[in-house]
Amino acid sequence: MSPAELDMAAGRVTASRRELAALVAWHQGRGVPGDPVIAGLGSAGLVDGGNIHPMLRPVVAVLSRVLVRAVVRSWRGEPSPMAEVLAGPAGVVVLPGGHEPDTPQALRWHPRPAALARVLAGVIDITAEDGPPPFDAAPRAWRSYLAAACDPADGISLVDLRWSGRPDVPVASALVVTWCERGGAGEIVPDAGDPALMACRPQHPIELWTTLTGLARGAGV
Amino acid sequence: MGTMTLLHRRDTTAARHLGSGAGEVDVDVPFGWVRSDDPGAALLVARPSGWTGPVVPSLTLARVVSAEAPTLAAYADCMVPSTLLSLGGHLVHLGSGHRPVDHLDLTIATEQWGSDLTVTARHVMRPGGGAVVATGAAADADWAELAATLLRAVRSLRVRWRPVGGAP
Repeated sequence: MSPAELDMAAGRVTASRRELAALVAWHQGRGVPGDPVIAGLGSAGLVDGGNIHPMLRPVVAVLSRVLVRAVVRSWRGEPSPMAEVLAGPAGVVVLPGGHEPDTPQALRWHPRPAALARVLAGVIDITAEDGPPPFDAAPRAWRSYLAAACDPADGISLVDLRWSGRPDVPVASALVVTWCERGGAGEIVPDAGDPALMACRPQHPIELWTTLTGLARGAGV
Repeated sequence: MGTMTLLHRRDTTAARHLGSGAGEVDVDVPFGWVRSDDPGAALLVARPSGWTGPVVPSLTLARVVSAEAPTLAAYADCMVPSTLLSLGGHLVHLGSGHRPVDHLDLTIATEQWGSDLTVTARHVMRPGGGAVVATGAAADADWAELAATLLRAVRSLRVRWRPVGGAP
């Protein structure tokens, strides 16, 4: 059964990565006749005859030409599903439901590629309040940060933003940030003395936002 | 995105009367920015001259028209939701302090008239009610270039309130 769902009243569209990939291929004329995935989308009301439902068309347009890819891995008391933010000339799409091909993705679309930094900030959701970061400057192994962010009692979040500003370039870590629920953020950077360790450098929320806008600007969207 | 040079030097302070004997307000206008001759309902509007980008950054001073809030906390409780409700977008930074005077700082990533903007503001409260706000706005694409200039300008806001009931 298809995980795709169309909820017109709530303005929500859900589809899996497998369905979206099949839909993009079909849209670009690379589809397989009688593809059961496309047939499943038809049953869900997302494909009617030769037409893609208007609520899904902008998403397919973005996915058909992706220039920027951001992968957000996060830990907020426990590991969270990986979210992917994709941008191209047709806008920005968020796939928030992890990387499994058949997991339903509650799709979010924004019409302007220039909204990329804001959409990304909404996905990462760094604290808006300044304060001491969750860790002091002492170098630690990555697993120490991870363990703290996976402990619900600590109230610590950790995000690894992986980024590619060109279609043919794989994503690479561009910003690793940690923050406390009560406020106070820091960037996790390689330790100058021991590259196997990482240090937490205090960062103001506006500095982190500036980093995101700089990434988007560098990608030219 | 736009280009400018020498953004980090202070040009001049821009003092304005608040009217009705309420006092005066000052802000440091960045070097190379030009004050508008007709700021409309605002106390001051300044923009960089010769900006080449599609969204011209701005610095604005205005009186806040709102219900009187006797404390900083009450003002923040009223202002933050109303700002997010009217502008929408993502709250980047929220902070408040009492030095040198009671103030509330807000930075929001938002969308206005089809442009993606970063808006940063400092509200300075009058004890007992009333406020003035300095607001800096720039396209997200220009923010990395302008953040220091706009934050410095907005946070230079100084208000000399006249005592309530004092001579105009």
